[in-house]
Amino acid sequence: MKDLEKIKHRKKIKHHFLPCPITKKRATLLHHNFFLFYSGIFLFFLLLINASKSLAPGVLGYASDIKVSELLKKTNEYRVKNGKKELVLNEKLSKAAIEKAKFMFQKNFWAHTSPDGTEPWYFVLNQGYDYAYAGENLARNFNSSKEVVNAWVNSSSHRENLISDNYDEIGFGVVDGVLDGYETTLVVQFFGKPRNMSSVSTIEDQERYIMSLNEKSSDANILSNQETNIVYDVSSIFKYLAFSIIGFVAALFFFDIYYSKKHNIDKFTGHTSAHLLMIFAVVLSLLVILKNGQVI
Amino acid sequence: MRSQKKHLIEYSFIAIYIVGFIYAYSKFTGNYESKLIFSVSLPLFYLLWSIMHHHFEGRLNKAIFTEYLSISIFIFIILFTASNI
Repeated sequence: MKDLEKIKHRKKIKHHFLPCPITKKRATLLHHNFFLFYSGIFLFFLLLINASKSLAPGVLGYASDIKVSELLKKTNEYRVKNGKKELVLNEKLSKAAIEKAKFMFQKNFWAHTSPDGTEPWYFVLNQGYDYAYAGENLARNFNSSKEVVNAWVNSSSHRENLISDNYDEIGFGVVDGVLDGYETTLVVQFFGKPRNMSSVSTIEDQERYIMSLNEKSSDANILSNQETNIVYDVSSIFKYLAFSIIGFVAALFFFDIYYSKKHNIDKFTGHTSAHLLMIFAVVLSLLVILKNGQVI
Repeated sequence: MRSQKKHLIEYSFIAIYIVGFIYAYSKFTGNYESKLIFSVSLPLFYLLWSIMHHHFEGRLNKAIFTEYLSISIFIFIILFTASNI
């Protein structure tokens, strides 16, 4: 009697994961009430995220580790690789880049020229940088300096700026803020060649400026996210959660197809292949929505 | 029983929609409103497709509708959560 109960129990567990040849139904874990349960997990996660914003600000966030020194290093590495001379970090160009980033947050726009017609060169001239040539690259929502430079390298118009012979100096602004309702990090890269060549920054000027940036790292508003004390990266947590549940559901659907064919179970249900196509679409959508940043 | 060709045509609707959806999604997700519209459009399309498909097959019943509805809700909630984090 006990053995019979054990067998029944095992069969019950088995049909949580595999379709039932008797009832001709899908695995229990693929029933509609379980899909509502999986949806509930996501809603609970969203609730936790929103609660943590007010209860424990700074615990969850978008971890990014973008440093001016690394942006400079990666940019110059790419230039050298392409047979170009290294650019020197210029304080005026960097301050112009910071001002441009702050201006984009202030006016809530994401473009080279603002809706009121303010051009990038306004910020460069405003810092007293009299240029013969100037250029601008922009990036947002990236996690690391490497990803930012890679994205510029992968875009032909940005790559042109990166390896142009017209420039001698460079400046970076990495500023955190809220744009279009999103907490984000903007990176502004200014290139320049001063009209007066005697005013070109030296390596010593560059080192001094980088040192001053490190000293200012306690200033919450300026530059790199080094000073942001994010404990958990919300997008990474979501990625693990979403892809675990989606992967689990997709695996159950694949088992469903395999087991039904093997045991010739003709279920009166929806089309598993259509469900799998939709899961594939969701995965692609998540990759798009959670992908790293944009450049213009 | 409907022909294999008709099935293929109906499935190709999903495939074409997914390609168009992903392309549009990658181009126009700069703001929250468009993310929300996209989060609704994919599951809504799937639900409507399933109703039409099973109706033409003569297999549309409450159980099948509930199955597609629950999966559509699941898809919407995932995309909605991704848009809101």
